[in-house]
Amino acid sequence: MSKDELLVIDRVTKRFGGLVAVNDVNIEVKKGEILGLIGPNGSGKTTLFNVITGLYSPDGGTITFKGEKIEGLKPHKIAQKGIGRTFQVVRPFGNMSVLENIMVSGMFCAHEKEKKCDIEDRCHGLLKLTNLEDRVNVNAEMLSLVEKRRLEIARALALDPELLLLDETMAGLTHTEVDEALTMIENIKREYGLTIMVVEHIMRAIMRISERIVVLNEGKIIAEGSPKKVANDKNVLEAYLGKKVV
Amino acid sequence: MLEIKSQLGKLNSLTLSLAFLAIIGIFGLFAESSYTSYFYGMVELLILAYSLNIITGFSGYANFGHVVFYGLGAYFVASFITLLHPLGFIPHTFLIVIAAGGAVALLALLIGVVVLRLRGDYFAIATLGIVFAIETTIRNIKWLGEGRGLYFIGKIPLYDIKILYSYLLIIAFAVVLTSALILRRRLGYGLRAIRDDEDVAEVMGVNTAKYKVMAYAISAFFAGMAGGVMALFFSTAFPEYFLMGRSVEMFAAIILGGVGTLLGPLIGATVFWMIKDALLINFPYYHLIFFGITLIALILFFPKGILGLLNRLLAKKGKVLR
Repeated sequence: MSKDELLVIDRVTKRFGGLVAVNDVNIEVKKGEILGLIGPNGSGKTTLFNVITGLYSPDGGTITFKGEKIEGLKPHKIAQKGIGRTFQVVRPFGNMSVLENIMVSGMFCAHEKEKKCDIEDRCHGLLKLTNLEDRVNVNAEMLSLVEKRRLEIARALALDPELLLLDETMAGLTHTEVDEALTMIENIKREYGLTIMVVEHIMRAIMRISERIVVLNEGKIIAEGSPKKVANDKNVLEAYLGKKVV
Repeated sequence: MLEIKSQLGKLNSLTLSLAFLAIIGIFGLFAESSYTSYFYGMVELLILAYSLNIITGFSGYANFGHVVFYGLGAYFVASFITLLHPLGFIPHTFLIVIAAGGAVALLALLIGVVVLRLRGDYFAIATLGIVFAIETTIRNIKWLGEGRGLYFIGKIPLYDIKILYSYLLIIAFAVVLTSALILRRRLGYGLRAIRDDEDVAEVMGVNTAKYKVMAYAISAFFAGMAGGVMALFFSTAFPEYFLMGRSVEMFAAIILGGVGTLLGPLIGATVFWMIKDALLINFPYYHLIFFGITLIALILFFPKGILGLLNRLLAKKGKVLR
């Protein structure tokens, strides 16, 4: 393992009864890159995220983050080590205000000694970045879908992570909203020097922001490489569209 | 404490509840004893409602067995006095009450570590089980007086209700301040996050297991002290203190006032006590029927409690009470 790898997923397997959701997957995420993770529905992308963040413990294999093994740790420990994530189906804390939502992860991230007012300042900065400034005191429940997705990103960033996992942050957005989201993600990466893993179904988006793409199908990696290479890969086309008959 | 100090100058939930407590406190202390006992019951319910609110309101874990801590507090006070009396050394009874609260909190810590692994309905049912288990155990221990109760009459001086009322007032002020403090600290943010989505809270760095148990123990501490004062009142700890109806009362009080808020338990407990008393006097035979109907109506029309209704009116002025 070389030094510039932030996250190493080594032969990770996750089974649900007879179903192997993630099957012997190896992925190395380099520091500072945006790695796209694509695959048809049910190919194990979200399960893999859940395994990385500790919501599921893997049935086999190891996950190394910054040189430390993290598989089997409690999710809050993993979060405090610097992995933030968003959820495919948005899950803001509905009865808390937008600011309070972000304050939660701001307060529980690694710097324990940070004062409350400093955390609040940091959170206000994140609200500005995610364009939620004028919604500070609104209940998170009342936000629109786009705003909720942006809130989830802000909330993950408040953890001050080194690795950000974005799980379909653009699903259900309009064309213009997708463009805005892409610009925002690029800004975030530049400003915070983050490493980002993106799961996305919108091909236009994933092709534009990813530097490298890994394709999963039925829990296995079927292709890996630059967006261009992956888009023309025979296995990928088959997985998405089926085999040519004639 | 700074956060609390900065709140005191303004008109908000904290100052309102402290002011209200001070008013009924002074009134109860200087009025005739019959009025004092009326306020005694009100403040006791208020403490129980606030303490239940810390676990059930803030973290969303429906605790139907909160009464168990109230009963245990009484038994701890009775046991401490029974144990200390032969030694000829009885500390100030308020100290015994605090010690009982601490013992209850410790016990809650142990119970919580096991029970708080359950979520939702399963947790609620387990809390019911705890009440029955502990009550039945106590009813079968000879040293604790079995079904008769543990008497310590004569081992401490008989108290005037006003002195015990002042004990309750101190506990009430403490539980209100503690609730306010929790809401402004990491613990409060963590608990509220747990209420909305426990898995997400965990992924956002909240040590959910630890925070739930902490809230459970803190709420047990205050309920235990209220029960301890009750034991002093009768110089006895009765197994009847574990009556399920008490649990229902505190639960109804926080729902009536506004779950998970700072002002809600105060409004809920006060209104609950007043309605209950008025109905009992006016309809001695049918009061529970009317009481049930009133509660159902209130909850149907104001799901967010009386505080929610107040906030709807205040919203026009751009104010919110928490």
